[in-house]
Amino acid sequence: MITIPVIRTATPDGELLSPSQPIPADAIAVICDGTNYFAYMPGDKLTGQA
Amino acid sequence: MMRAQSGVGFSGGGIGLKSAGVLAQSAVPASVTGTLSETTLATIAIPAGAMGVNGALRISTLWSYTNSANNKTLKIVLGGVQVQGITVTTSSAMNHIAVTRNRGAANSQITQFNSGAPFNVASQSNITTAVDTSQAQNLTITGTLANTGETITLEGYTVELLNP
Repeated sequence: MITIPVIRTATPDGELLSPSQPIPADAIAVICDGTNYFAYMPGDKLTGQA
Repeated sequence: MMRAQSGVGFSGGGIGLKSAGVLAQSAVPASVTGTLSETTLATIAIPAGAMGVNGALRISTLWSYTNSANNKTLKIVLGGVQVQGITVTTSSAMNHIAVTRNRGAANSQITQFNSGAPFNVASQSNITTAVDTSQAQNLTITGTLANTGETITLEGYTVELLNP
């Protein structure tokens, strides 16, 4: 799993969160928790996965 | 006989039909949870001039989200300008298609700004925008929660260029 911090950009509606670097093209899932983007890579076990 | 191949126009049986071009596609789930801030779930680069003056972008999205009374806002933004905004509550998933069309100029678009199902009647007026598509632009797909304990997932998307 790769952790990518968010970038916060002010918008008229509040703020927009974006990844501070591109999500890897071979990621298999991405989750943002408001602080970081977590990019799950091949072979990673996803949260909740048996 | 018409036959479509990736990147090759329809032969069109001599009548000049052209194929859509898939600019980007993914079925990798991208989720947001734990924040009330609008969160980018996908960014697609639209090359300069790729969308002709009478061209269009067809954006298909597949979503899942927490089924609750709280608003979940799903947006499509072209060049920093919102072209689609959908608010969902007590449902679990949605398959949506939005089409943004240039209106004879690279910097003039129209899109149905609907809050529900695509190709449906809408109480809102169509939205007109002035994004300069002769320049490279980003198309972003975002989600915004109203409850940090809930989740929005962009399950997949396809972005197609339609040029006459």
